[in-house]
Amino acid sequence: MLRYANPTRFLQLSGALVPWLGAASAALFAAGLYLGFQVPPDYQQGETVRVMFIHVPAAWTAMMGYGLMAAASLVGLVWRHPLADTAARAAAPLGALFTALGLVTGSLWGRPMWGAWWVWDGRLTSFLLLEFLYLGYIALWNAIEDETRAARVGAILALVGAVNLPIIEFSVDWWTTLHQGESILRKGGPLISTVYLWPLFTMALAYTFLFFTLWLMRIETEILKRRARNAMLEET
Amino acid sequence: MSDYGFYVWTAYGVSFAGLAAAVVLTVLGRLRARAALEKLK
Repeated sequence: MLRYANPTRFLQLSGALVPWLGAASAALFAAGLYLGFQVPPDYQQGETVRVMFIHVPAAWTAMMGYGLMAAASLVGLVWRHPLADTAARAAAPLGALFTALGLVTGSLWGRPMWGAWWVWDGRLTSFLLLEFLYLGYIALWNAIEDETRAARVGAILALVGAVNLPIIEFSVDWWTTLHQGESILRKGGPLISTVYLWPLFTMALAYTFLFFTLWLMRIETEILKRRARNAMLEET
Repeated sequence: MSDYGFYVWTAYGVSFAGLAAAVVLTVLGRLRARAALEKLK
């Protein structure tokens, strides 16, 4: 693993992976959308069940993104490796986007099903906090000019904020929430019909592959920008 | 799509717009960074 912490080796690996990941994501999106619009309406939710096929994957990817950002931050903080800091920084805007999509699509599902665009229950509030953590992390990086210091401070925020991940996950068990309890990845198997699991998992894979495609590309971009800055410094 | 079409299509539309924007901005950013580096070389 550490072999690929070298930026040149990382660029070689990333260059080879990105086209495949991107193609796999596009194929999974096509399949997921096809499956998602083929399934019959749910007996309770009606057509709005189709919102689940984009809402749940967005929420899962947003949490995965934060986990990756926190892990990269920890590596950056402990081993002081610039590539880890770059990886953490590159994940933040993507995580913020997926969180925002989770919030908006959840709201668009909640209005017809709950009769409310928003409620301050444990799951929704902790998920909104995730968005603020992402935005705060991005703001920190932009506010501190010294990149090394920005990376250190950002890493601390990312690690402290990681406490929110289990809160999001278990909020539906710890508190009485309007948001339904765990119905997919639970002991005893999913509570939802298999017919809905196929489009859901296909879209979840599509979102995950897209996240990794964009994340690797953003890390590449940061490495190239750093090289350009170094080249400019050498010229002057 | 019954009465809920507005919510379903809006959710898909917003998601498509957000993800498409992320793809376009990421690809453009990478192309610009590569071009800037090539220019300096």
